[in-house]
Formats: sequence, structure tokens, C-alpha cells
Amino acid sequence: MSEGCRPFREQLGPLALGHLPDPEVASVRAHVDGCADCREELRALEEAAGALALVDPELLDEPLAPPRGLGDRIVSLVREERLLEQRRRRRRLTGLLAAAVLAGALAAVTLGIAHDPGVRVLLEPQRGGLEAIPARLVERPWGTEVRLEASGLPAGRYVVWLREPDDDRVPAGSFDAVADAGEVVLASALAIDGAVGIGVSEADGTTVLYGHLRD
Amino acid sequence: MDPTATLRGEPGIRAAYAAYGAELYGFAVRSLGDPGLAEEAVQETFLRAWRHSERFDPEVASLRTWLFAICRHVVVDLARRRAARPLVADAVAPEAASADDVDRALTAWQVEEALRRIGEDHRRVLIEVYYRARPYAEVAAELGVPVGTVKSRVYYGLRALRLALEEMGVEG
Ligand SMILES: [Zn+2]
Repeated sequence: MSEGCRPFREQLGPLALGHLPDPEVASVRAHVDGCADCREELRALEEAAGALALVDPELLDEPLAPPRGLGDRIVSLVREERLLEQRRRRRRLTGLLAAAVLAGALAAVTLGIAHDPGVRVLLEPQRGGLEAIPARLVERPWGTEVRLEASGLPAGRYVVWLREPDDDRVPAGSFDAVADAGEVVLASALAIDGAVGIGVSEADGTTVLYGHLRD
Repeated sequence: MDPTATLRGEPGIRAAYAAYGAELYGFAVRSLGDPGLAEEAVQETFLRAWRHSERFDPEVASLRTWLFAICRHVVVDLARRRAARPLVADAVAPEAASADDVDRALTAWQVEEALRRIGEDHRRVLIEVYYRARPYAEVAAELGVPVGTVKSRVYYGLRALRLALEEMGVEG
């Protein structure tokens, strides 16, 4: 901007808005016509002035803050979708591998194919003389894999089942507790989402351990 | 925010929402006229951004521009869906917003947002002399400044507006 532009520069704002009184318009126009800098400046200001027309001024004072918690909701939606995606990927993988070892369903169980840590639950004693034992339930395409730590149980035969919301029991298999039995791996056809609890009974049907999964 | 921050992770989504969530929400409210639907639009925008985060290229467009482009699509989809089934039977069925309507709303929203970004003094005189069509002398008296100052604020206000629009990537 040259020194000669100075008296005209700030007139360009009102000129762009069409607010300059006629007598002033003439002199400002005369300068602008002969000055490329001011012509360019005026063009830019007129562009901004044109943009003003798009806005409803009543709306300017209206606060438009998004609802509180929207950001958190978005993050949890993303988290959910990521989990679903991971599960789908794992199912595909597990499905493929399980098909390969279909000869023995149990083989698939014991392989512990995917590294799904599963759901951990503590089986609480339902009578005296027992200690709580940890169990792990893992979602599988064919149902639920059940892993429990049998070392602490008195010797004998035990039956394991998953409880459905209507109290029906879906068997997960049986095992003999022996000294140092270690981890026992069993399988139930009930999907993990369909189970509300997991129980261990003695051969006569008395429940001796029970773990609550959900209400 | 760091423009190269990955949208793939939760921190990236959180940062993008902190930076642009409010603006996107404002645009969605203006174009859909319904806060509930606008909320849905913003959620969907970030979900789509997350799903397609590998397509975001900061060399091509800023994160803001990219998110607005997604949001524009989402708003057009939602407006069509709403027009297809008005929620309340006896309510006046909203006119089907065309993509052109949404584009107009988007530009208007950007200008509104740009007006919020310029200084309070500048915004004030533009509102008084342009939208309220008040005489410069009256505005000057009210603000306790010479008329020349009002004129100069109009000039600098328009310049600042122009700059803000440029920064937002709004075509002149
Ligand atoms: Zn000049």
C-alpha cells in the first residue's frame, strides 16, 4: 500500500458494503480505478461482504453447543465397533482352524486356538470344606470353552454345567478330580452370551460350586 | 491438534472431536433444524471417519475439511431419510433437503463460524451497520468512538472475515 492509498483504504470497507455516501464514492472510485493494489483489496472485501448476506443475523447469538457427553458417546461407539470387528475377525480365524481339526472336536477345544482371554469367574463353594476355584469361559463358534482349576477339589467325579436364564442347565462335561489335576478343559454348546452362571455338581447332582456371570 | 494424529485410535478421535465436534454439530443443527438428528449426524460423521481413517490424507485436505465433507454426506443422507418418513403424522412434512440446500447451509454455517472468530469489536460494527442497517454516526455515538473508527472497524472486520473464510477453506 502506497502513501497515496492511505486516505482511501479504510473507506473501502464501507464502500464494499455499499454504505459510502455518494460524494465520497466518487473520489474513492477515482483512486481505486487507478490503483491495482486498492482494486484487489476492494475485490477481496466485496467477497467478504457477499458472504455476510448468507447468514441470518438472528442466529448469531444463538448458542450451538453440542450436548455434553456427545464426545464420550462417540468414543464408546468407536470402542464398541472395534470390539465387534475384532470378534468377527477372531471368529473367522477360529472357524477356519476349527474346520481343519474337525476330526476331533475336543482337539479344537484343547488347542486353545485364539488368544481370547475369555471371561474370568470365581466359582464360590456352596457347602463347607471347599475352596473357591477360578474358571475361565471362552467364546467359541460351537459354544463355550470352559477352563477351570481343579487342583484344589477333593477327589471324586464332578459335572460342570452352564445355567440359562430360565434355570435350565446345559452340560459342559465331567471330570475326575485327582491330585494335581491342574487345569481342566471342557466344552458346552451354550453360547457364552446365553449363560447367566456356571456350576459344578457332584455325581449325585448336589451343586458344590457356583459362579455368577450376569443377572 | 496435530494434523497427522491418527484417527484410528481413541485419542485421535477424542482430539478430533474436541477440535471440530462443536462446529460440525452447529452445521448439522443449522441444516437439519433438529438437535436430536444433528447429534446423530455428528456421531455418524466420526464413526465414518474412524472406519475410513486410512483414506484421510493431510496432504490433500485438512482434517477439518475432510470431516466437514463426511458430515455433509451424512446430513444429506439423514435429510433424505427424514423426508421419506416424517416422524409425526400431522406435522408438516419437512421439505426434502436437496444436496444444494445442504451445501448452502454449509457455506452459511462457515460464514457464521468465521464471524464468531473475528474480534468482538469488528463483529459488533458489522452487525450494527450491515445487518441492522444503522447509521455509522449512531453506532459511533453508542460505542463512544469517532465515526472514522467505525469505518475502520468495518474495513478490518471484512478483512478478518475474509481471512477466516480462507483459513476454513471456503471458496470466495
Ligand atoms: Zn491505492
